[in-house]
Amino acid sequence: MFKRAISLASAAAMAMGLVMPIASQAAVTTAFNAGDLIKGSGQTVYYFAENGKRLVFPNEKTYFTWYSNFDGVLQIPDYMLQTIPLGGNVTYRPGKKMVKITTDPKVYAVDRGGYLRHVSTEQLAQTLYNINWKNQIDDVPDAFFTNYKVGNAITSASEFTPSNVMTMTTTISQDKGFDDTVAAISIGSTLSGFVPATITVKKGATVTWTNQDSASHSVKSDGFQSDNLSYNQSYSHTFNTTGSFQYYDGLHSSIVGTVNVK
Amino acid sequence: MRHFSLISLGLAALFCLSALPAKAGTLGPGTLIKGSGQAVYYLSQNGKRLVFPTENTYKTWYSDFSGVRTIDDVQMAAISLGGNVTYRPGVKLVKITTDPKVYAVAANGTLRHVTTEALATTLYGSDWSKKVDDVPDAFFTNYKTGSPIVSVSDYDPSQATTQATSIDVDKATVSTFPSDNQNTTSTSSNADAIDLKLVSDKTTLHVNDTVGLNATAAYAKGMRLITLFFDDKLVTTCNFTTLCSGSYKVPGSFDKTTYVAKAIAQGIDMTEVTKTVNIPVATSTSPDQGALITIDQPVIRPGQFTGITVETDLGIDVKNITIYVNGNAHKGCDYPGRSCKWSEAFTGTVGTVYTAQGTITDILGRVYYTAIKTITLSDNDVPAVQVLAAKPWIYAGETVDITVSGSDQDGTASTDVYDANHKLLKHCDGAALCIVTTGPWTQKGTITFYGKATDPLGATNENSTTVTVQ
Repeated sequence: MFKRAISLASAAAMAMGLVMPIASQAAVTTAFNAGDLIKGSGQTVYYFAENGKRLVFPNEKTYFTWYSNFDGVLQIPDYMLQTIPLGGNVTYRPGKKMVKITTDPKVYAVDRGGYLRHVSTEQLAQTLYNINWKNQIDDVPDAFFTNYKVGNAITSASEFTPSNVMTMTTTISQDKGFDDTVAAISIGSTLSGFVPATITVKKGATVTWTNQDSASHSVKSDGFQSDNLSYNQSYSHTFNTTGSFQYYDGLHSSIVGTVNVK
Repeated sequence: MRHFSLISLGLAALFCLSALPAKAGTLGPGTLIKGSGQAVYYLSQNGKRLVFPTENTYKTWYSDFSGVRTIDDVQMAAISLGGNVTYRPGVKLVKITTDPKVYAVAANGTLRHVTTEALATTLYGSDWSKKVDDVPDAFFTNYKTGSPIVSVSDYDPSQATTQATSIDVDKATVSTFPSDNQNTTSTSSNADAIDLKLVSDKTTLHVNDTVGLNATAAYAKGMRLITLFFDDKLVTTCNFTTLCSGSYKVPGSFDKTTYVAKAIAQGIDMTEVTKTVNIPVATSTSPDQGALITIDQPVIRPGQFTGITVETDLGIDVKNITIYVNGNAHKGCDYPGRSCKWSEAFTGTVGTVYTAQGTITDILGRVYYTAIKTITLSDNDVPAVQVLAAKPWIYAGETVDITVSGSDQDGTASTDVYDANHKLLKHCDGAALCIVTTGPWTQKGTITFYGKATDPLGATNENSTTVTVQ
C-alpha cells in the first residue's frame, strides 16, 4: 500500500457523496456499530452496514430521505475509515419520495431494496402522494440511476401504500436486506487494527473478520481463534452468550479489540 | 403522462459543451448520442444508453465530442439507461479520496491494487502520480475489485488499452483476474443478470377473460428458454428467443382474489430469473383506475330515457369503449375519443333494477372495467343534473365559474352548487341555470365541485366536476 498520500485534484467538481456542514465536530471514537453513521476528518458521511462496509450517500437528497439532520454522526480516525471498504450507494428511503430521470418523463415510486416502480397515471400519483404529488418528485442524476432496479409498474393504488412502505423500512439496513444477526470487522494495518475496535452485537450474532491489510493477521481469544489470515481472507465466530469478549491479533499482539454481546 | 420540468440536480453525467448539428441516419451500437440537453450517452449493443458519470471517464475513451449525434427527446426517452461507463483500461490510475490505495483499471471496470510505488513508476512512468484520478465514492460501486498487481508482469497498461477497442468490447470482456468481492452486497450491479419483463394485457380479471402474457428477456450471453405460467399452469414455452407471448383463458368461476402470472427465463448458461405479475380479480366496488361511468338519472320512471356515459382520464390510450346493460353490450364507440354515451328508454315495472357497466380497451389491447352502476325504475324519477366548469383548468390565483343545471319530468324545484367539502356555495330556486364565480384559487392541484338538483317531489340527484389549478 502507498504510504504516501496522493492529493490530486478531485475527478470533477460534482456529486461526490454527501458532505455535512462543518459546524458539528464530535470526539473521535474507535467504537461503533452496524447502523451507525460515520465520518473521518473530512466531511463525507457514510453508513456502516452489517457486512462491515461503508455505504455512500450519493447526494444530499438521498441522505435526507433517511435522516433529518446530522445528529449522531460519529467521527472515527481516518486510518480506520480507509480500512473499511466501500459497499455501494444508499438509495432513497422507500415510499418517501417519487423519482425520475431528466431524460425520461416516467415517474417512479421507490420500493424496498431500491426497486423503482413506475407510477402509471397522474391520477395514481395523486392518490398515492396527494394533490401536491408533483412536489414529491426528485430528479435522480443519470449516473445514480444504475443504483436502482426497475420493478413492476404500479397500476392501482392498492399495490403500493407509501406510508406502509415507510413504516416497514425505517433503516438503511432493512432496505438493503441486512439484519442484526450478523456484523463484520475489518482488519487493517498495525495502526488501524480492528475496525471497529469495539463493537456491540446481539446475542446469537455471527461476527466476521476480514483482513484488508497486505500483511497477515489473526483473531485470537480465550474462546475462539482463527488461522492466520492473508489479504482478503475471513474468519467468523458466533457469540451465543452475553458478555464482553476481549481478543487480539495473534501475529501482532498490540492489536486488540472487544466484542460486547448483549 | 405529462412531461415534468423539474429542475435537475444536474451534477452527475457528462455534459457536452459544444452543441452539434443534428444528423440523420440510423443509430448503430457504439454511437454517442445526446438529446436537447447536454448529457452524452453511449448507445450500447444491448439497446440501452450508458451514462458517463464524469468528464474524466469520457476523456479516457474520447478526445473530443465530434462523433456525438443529436436525437430527439422522445427517442431518447424510449432508450432505457443501462448503467455507467467505467474508465478505459490502462489509461489512468484511480483511487478514492478516503483511501490511499492506488488502482490500475483492468477490463470491464476491474480495479487492481498497485501495491508499491516502484511498480507504479515502472508501469506509468516517474510522473505516475499525475495520472491518478480520484473516483467519487458514489461511482466506486461501478467498479469491481480484482487481484492486486504484485509484479510488472501482472499488468500491461498499453495492452489493456489496446484490447479495449470500444466500451461494448470492454463491457463484454470477462475478467480473467479473480474477483475478490467476498461479500457481494445487495447493491452490486446486476449488469450481467437476465433482464426479464412480464406484461399482462389485463390489469384485473373477469370471468371468461382471455389473458395475454408477453415476456421479454435481455441477456448478454443469450437466452435458452422462456416459460410462461398462469396460476402455476403452463401457458407456453419459447426456445432460444428473447420474446415470448401466450394467452390463457381464465376459469369460469374464481377461487382466489388474486392470480399470479409468472415468467421464468433461462439463459444459455442455465442462469435463471423469475418474474411474476399479480392480477387481482375485478370487483364492482374497485373499478380499474381511470375508467369512469356516470348515469344521467339513476332513478327513472318506467319507459323514461336515461343516459349512460363511460369515459376515461388521460392515463389510458383509448382504442374503443363499450357500454353494457345487464351484461349485454349495447353500444361501442370505436373512435379514439375519451367518452362514449348511450341513451335508452328503460321499460318494466316499478322496482326493476338494471345494471350498467363500461369497458375501455386501450391501444395495447388491455381492458379496463368501470364500476357497476344501477338504473332503478321508480314512481318518481330523480332529476338529471349537470355540473359544468367554465374552464377545465386555471392558473393559480384565477377564479372559475361553475354552472349547475337540472332537468326532470316534473320540472326542477331548485339547484345547489357545493365546494370540495360539500359546503354550499350557492342555492338557486327554479329551473334556471345556477351560476357561481368561485375563487380565486391559489393552491395548485385539483378541486372538485358538486351540483345538486331537486325536483318538486323532493327527489334529488348529485353530480360533480373537477378543475385543475396549475
